[in-house]
Amino acid sequence: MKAFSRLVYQLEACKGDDRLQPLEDYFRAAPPRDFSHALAILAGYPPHRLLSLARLQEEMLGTTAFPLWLLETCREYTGDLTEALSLLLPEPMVPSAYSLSHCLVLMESLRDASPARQSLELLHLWSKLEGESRFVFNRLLTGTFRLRPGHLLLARAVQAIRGVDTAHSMLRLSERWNPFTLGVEELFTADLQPQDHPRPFNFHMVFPLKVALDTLGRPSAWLASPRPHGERVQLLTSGGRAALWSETGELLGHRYPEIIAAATALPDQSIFEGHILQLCEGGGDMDPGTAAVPSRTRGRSGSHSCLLISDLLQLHGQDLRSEPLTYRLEMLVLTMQALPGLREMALAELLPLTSWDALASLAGRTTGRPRGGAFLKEAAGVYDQPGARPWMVVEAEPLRSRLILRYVALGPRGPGGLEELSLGAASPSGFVTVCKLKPSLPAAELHDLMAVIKASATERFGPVRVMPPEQVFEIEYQGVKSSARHKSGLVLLEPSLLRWCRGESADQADSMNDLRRSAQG
Amino acid sequence: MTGNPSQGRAAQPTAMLEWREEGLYCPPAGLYIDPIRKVARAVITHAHSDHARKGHGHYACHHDSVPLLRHRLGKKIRVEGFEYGQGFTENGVKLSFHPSGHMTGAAMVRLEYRGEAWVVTGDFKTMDDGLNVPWAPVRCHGLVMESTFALPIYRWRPQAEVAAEMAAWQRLNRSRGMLSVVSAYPLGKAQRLMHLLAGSGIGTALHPVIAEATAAVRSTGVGLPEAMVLHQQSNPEDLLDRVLLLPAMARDHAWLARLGPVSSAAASGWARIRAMRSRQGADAAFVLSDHADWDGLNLAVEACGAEKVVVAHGYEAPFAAWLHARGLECWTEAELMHGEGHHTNTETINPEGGLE
Repeated sequence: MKAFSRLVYQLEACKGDDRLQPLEDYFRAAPPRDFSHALAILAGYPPHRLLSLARLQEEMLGTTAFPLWLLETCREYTGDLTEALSLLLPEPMVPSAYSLSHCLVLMESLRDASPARQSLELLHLWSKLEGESRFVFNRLLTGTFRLRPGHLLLARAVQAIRGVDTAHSMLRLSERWNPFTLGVEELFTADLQPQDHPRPFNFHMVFPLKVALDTLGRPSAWLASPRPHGERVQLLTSGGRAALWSETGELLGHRYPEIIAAATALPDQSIFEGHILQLCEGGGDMDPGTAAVPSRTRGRSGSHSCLLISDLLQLHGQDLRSEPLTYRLEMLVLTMQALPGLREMALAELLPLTSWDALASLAGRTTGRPRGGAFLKEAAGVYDQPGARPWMVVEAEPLRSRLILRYVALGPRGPGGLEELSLGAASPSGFVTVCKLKPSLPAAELHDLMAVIKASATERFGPVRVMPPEQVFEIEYQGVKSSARHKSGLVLLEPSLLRWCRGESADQADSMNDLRRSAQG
Repeated sequence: MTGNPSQGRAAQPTAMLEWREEGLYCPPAGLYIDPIRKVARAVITHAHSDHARKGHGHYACHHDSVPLLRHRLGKKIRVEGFEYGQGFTENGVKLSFHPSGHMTGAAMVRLEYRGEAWVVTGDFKTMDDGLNVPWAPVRCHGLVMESTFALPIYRWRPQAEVAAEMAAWQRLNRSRGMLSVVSAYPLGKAQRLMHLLAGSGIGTALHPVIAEATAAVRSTGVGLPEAMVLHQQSNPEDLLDRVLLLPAMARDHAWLARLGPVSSAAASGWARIRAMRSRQGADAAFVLSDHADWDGLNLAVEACGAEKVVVAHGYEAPFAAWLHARGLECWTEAELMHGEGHHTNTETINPEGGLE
């Protein structure tokens, strides 16, 4: 239990890929039974709770005889009732040797036991666990364990330890299993039937366009489409089931059940490529407010997810990847025409190019989309085959604005550190903060800026300094979307600091009206 | 049942102590204990900067604190040291120093006047750290005690277990070619870590500031293991086998990054709480404190036999309420310092109330 609670602490303390190392360390050292249980818990299938939080509180206060107000004070300082309750007991005299699986087996054995026996057994266990282990165990006990590092990260750790292919692991992790009956050995060695669990193809490579357009030959040899801003996926149908795989190797079906449900209408043994978008209810127009970030929560009101299909890689079991794109698209259009109108499926527009100028205008088109950009695909191109040309992304020209420095957050350590600059724009009701940026300026400028801040800051709130509306900064951003949650009513997309416009007066900076106009393209 | 600690209680706990703006004052003896403003005569419990301040006319402390005070406050201070159990009598007040176990030279101050004895603990820990003279209870009528970790969620593990955890962390770092860096208070915590790690066979490398403080501690005759001193040209290869001890401020210095990849850790009682651990911004956190935990604080109150307790620092209001419920007469330092009208947390805790 101690090793698992340390893993939990480590996973909570870091983000992203940094979490891989602790996972690998744990899986490498853990006994097989612990491995299996830990994997199930982290994959989102923890055991059902044995006690309610109220009952845990009753037990802990009953044992320690601490008054309720003292517990309340402890909770105030831990910020978490389960943590406060778990730390109330004295530490054991010797470090515990109880494993994760031992604790879980005990928990299972108490499901049908009388409350008195539950109390007795749990008290004994609690007295043997250290505070931190007791806390993690109590989270499991009360069904409040919520740490989920994500299936892909788990699959990568399993691959590093046991050499299991991540796609295989993803399939295994995508369905609940019982770690009491299915050990980690069986979980990963048992064969999965390929017809029931089809794998995605490798995704065709996509590169940013690095060369001049006229080196690409005739424009008519290329197809272009506006770049959608959802997750790139392959949708696989097989025997009445469907699976959504992301480009990163993640199984996404559980996040988009409506797409999975709609996929039953698609031909069997087929693979489609596309992007997942969030669409407005009704007309099906893309909502600039949500399209940039595919919703991870289901049932979001006013929008639904939709697969914007742009390629057909396999049809009725026949691999189409070595066919030219134009042929695949023809088949795709025919396939889609045979379907009833589905709001969860849409066909991406892929336009033949007449001139390179047309491409630039397509890429720069921001209306209705959070940001521009276009895909450029060779019309005769094959999909992920030897010698195939990658698809290319043509970036839209970023937008630029001059904004005024409003607040500065000083760094937590070191007197010279600047943490963040808050930039704003003038509106009739005064200045409004529009974005917050890291001060990515040359060292000499940072130094000068610090001097300016020291000399002219008008107020301070902890590490934050309020600046008079004098300093102008130029920024670059990819677009604007409206937002009801921000005071300014809009969000700049991917803003970055370009330069400090020293000596420029605040009158030359953009106003809120200017920014709103740029949002309308 | 517990009621408000201020009910049916004298305004002042004793005539022999006064809580003034300058600090805790003993009127018959005419001296202050750990004063925060400049005074003529100061009795100092230990050499940490929040207890031993600059500018007093005369300092009295434990013998081992003398070089530490000189290190901190300058060679020119007028200071007199006493052994544990010893002291002096001033105008009928018998004053003596007793081990508090907090750090080298740390002492509790016992004051006896006309048959009434009070003990001022300063900072203390009941756990024997194997380096300093361990805390022992001193019988008294009244106790002025710290309450830094006075909630039952703070319980310390035996330090040998913490040492084993730190050793395992260091080995893991070494196997990955990462330096192990622990931020530590230069005086007290740093020497405790040196001693603790040496017990696990791990050497230390000290930041120059810590090395100076360590030299001062060594001069008291405390046996400390050998340690390397860090400098800009230190060879990273030599450092992999050691734990680097740095003051918290130095942790982010650029030269540290030049030495190679680093895994940082904090060693503190606050590491017991998850929210606090994440605030320390370290890769690892070890629960190790030079203060008494909940059990230690309660043991200290019981063992000294005091009937009156004044609680200072940290969770003073809840701890005062807790002791009051156990039949003791309690005050918090804040209410004595700022008068009856001062609102402490005591009033916001409703002992009869339930959870929201």
